[in-house]
Amino acid sequence: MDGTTAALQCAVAGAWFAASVTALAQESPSETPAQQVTVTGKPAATQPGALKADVVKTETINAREIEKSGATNLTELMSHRPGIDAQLECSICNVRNITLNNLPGRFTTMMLDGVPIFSSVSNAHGLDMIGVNDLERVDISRGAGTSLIAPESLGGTVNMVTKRPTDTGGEVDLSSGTFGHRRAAGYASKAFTGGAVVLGGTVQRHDSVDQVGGGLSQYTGFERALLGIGAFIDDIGGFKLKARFDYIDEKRMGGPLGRDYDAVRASTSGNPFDFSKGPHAAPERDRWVVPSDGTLAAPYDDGLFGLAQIIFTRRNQFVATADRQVGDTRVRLALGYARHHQDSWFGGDADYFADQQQYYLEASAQTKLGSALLTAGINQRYEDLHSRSTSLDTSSPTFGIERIDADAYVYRTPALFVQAYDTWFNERLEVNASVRYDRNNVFGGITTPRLNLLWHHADDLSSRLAIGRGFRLPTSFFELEHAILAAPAVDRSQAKPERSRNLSYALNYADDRLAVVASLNHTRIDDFALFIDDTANSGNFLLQPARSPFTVDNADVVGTWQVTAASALTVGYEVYRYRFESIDFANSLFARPAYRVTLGLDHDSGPWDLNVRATYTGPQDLAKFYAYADTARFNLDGTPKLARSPGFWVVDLRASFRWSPAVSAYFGVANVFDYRQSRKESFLWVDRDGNLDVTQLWGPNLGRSAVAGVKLAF
Amino acid sequence: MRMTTLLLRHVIGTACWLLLTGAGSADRAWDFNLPALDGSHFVRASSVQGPLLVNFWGSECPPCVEELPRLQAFAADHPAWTVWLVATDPAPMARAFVERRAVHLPVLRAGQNVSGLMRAAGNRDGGLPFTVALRQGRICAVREGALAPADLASIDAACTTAAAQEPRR
Repeated sequence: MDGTTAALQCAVAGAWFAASVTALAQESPSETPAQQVTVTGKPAATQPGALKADVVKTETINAREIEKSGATNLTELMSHRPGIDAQLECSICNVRNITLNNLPGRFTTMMLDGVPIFSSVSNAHGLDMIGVNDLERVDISRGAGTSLIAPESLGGTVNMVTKRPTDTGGEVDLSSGTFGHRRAAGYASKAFTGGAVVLGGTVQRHDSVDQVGGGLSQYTGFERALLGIGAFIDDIGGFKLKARFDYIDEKRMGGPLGRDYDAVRASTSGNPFDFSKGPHAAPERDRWVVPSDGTLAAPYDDGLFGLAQIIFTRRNQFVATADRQVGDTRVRLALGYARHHQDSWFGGDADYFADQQQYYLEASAQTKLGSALLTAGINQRYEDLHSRSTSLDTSSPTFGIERIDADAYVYRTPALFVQAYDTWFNERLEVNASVRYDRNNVFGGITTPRLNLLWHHADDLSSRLAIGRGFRLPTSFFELEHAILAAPAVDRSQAKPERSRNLSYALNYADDRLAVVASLNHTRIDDFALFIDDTANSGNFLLQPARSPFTVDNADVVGTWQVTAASALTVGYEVYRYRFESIDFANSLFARPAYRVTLGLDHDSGPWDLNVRATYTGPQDLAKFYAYADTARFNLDGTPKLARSPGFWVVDLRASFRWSPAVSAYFGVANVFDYRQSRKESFLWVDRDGNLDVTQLWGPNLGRSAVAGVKLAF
Repeated sequence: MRMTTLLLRHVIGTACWLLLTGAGSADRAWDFNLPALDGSHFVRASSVQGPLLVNFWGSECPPCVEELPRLQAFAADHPAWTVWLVATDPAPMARAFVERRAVHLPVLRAGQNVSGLMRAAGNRDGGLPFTVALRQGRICAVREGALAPADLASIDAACTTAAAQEPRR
């Protein structure tokens, strides 16, 4: 083929296109003006009109997928999906964040019904506490470009959309499983003319788990209670109202096993653990090797509390949205309020009590201007964190002193945003452009433009191109760096907003039996916020931007084939390239894989519903992510930690059987082949001087587990 | 170098084709091959003899729920018509819903491309409910939004007219 041929292809294609456009412009037979229509959020991210949304979803997890995943919370739901995963950031306390395109989890903006009411505090442990029972779907926007008018969205957006019932009824879900899993969840709805109310609640517990035998947990135990109340009023002063209140109460403890928090608090001497268990373990029960000279460290003598992390969380949260159509204009009001309280005891680090308030107010209007749909609005975000803390680090100058607001910030961020949507070429090309201007009381003005293009090549083939910028206001929340409370102060004078530049392209093909999405993504983060330990010089911790950018490029392809009328096979492959100067991000990153493969088989026939999920996680460059060049990591026997993790499969199975419309039963096994990181390498590591840490993380922290349950509908 | 140039030209040519090609949806022929709700078999629209009414619905769409009894009544009163419901809900949810609501019409799963399927029939926004009437594999009527009894009568009339205008074989 030569240039003439290529030009000819373009000319022929252009002629074909012109003919199609002309033909499409003709009247359809017997079409009438649209009447009452419900536009529902269905899975196709590139469906017609997809760009009309405020946030352009690149993936959707619908209610069915939520159910068949067997997930009990958001982090379980988001695990092992192409381009999306839950990132474990602490083996002892199980901090888990949701990563998009394998960017650090804190870069993901979380929203409930479009309201950003989560923060670094609530994301640290709070994402485990977000139940999924009441959700209609979860929309994911990978990349800042697709996030349009959503605030921040440094790495993308996750929006949980609550379920609006159309029926009166309810459901009770009772389950029991290994490792002390017990769960009872209830959901009731009352639909009436012009609205509905819902009530949902969950109580759940899980034991802390030690599968090494040293008495130190790899999986954190918890007791959790969730309560949610929602109201949907179709017409209140002309507004369509959606309001929801959630209450969360959780106690979790990692490190020592069990639930006797007081006993753990009281145990501050001696050694209840056995560090000689597991691969490359310490040579003695009480002592490990100091790698710099090969001697044995002093015997561990800090009791159960020395390696304990006990975290009690209470959260009240209210979110409401109201929409009103006035002629061609849709007016939207949104309100969010959250009060998050965390009492935590981190043995050896600090006692830390955080109290955070957040609110969000938004008013926007969307109207037609010619063929375009324009949205303009204002919002105000407020976030404050106050804390009370006592350092338990005996080497700290603040040891034993109770301090108020050693970790604190107040952010007020009013913003303006505009968005314009239009279509061209007989709706084959959809364009949505937006720009936000946020003005923060600490960091000043930040402008984030975003542009999305969606081209429908045909009814079964479309392309989406997104480009845009995101930002994040860095916080000093203690969870990101426990050691900051050991310093007299955190110097924030050099801090800058973290900023991202994102470019993504997706090609989507779908017919009745096959759906394939291939995407390319590029995200560069500038001014990545870091905590720098400057206690040796200024005496403080410094919150400051990284000297160099952090860039992730990735490509992924996911296909689902309806093999038979009852069975569908999903295959996904994603590959990543990480570009960053390791030394500039020391102790700030968690390892992510070079590639992943996901396989899924869903069989849904008659009363049976069977699901198999398999994920192969490729090798992870531990030396680079964990900056061995800056801080070398060693096993407790003094040998070096793995520079590169092995690849591994995780396979999950789930089956459910519906006895009747009212009764169904289910059984699930997670991690069927019992792959555990702790069999290959401990989460524990020591530096050259023998200081112990717990963050050598790359693989599953819980082995094979099973759960069985029954669902009763009424 | 030569290979690179050829490859580049091929990519550019293919990209132009991808960007500029359009589907022949003006042809108003419309067909699908979707699984039955119980997962027992696939059904193809073009296999139906006589007029076919296809209604896309979802359990969380109040107007969809409201019009289901009207569709059942229409099917009962017009035995010449075949009426299918395409559930945009996940299959188990749809199954539970139709059992609870005593819906007796055949229900199909939405397949992998329900929005594209609706778009090909003229539904550009993916709105529900959406109804397509077919005769001999060709669209004879389309309704986006809730169906009134008069709409069903006009669909019947439109498709009957379409049938009358078909050339005799």
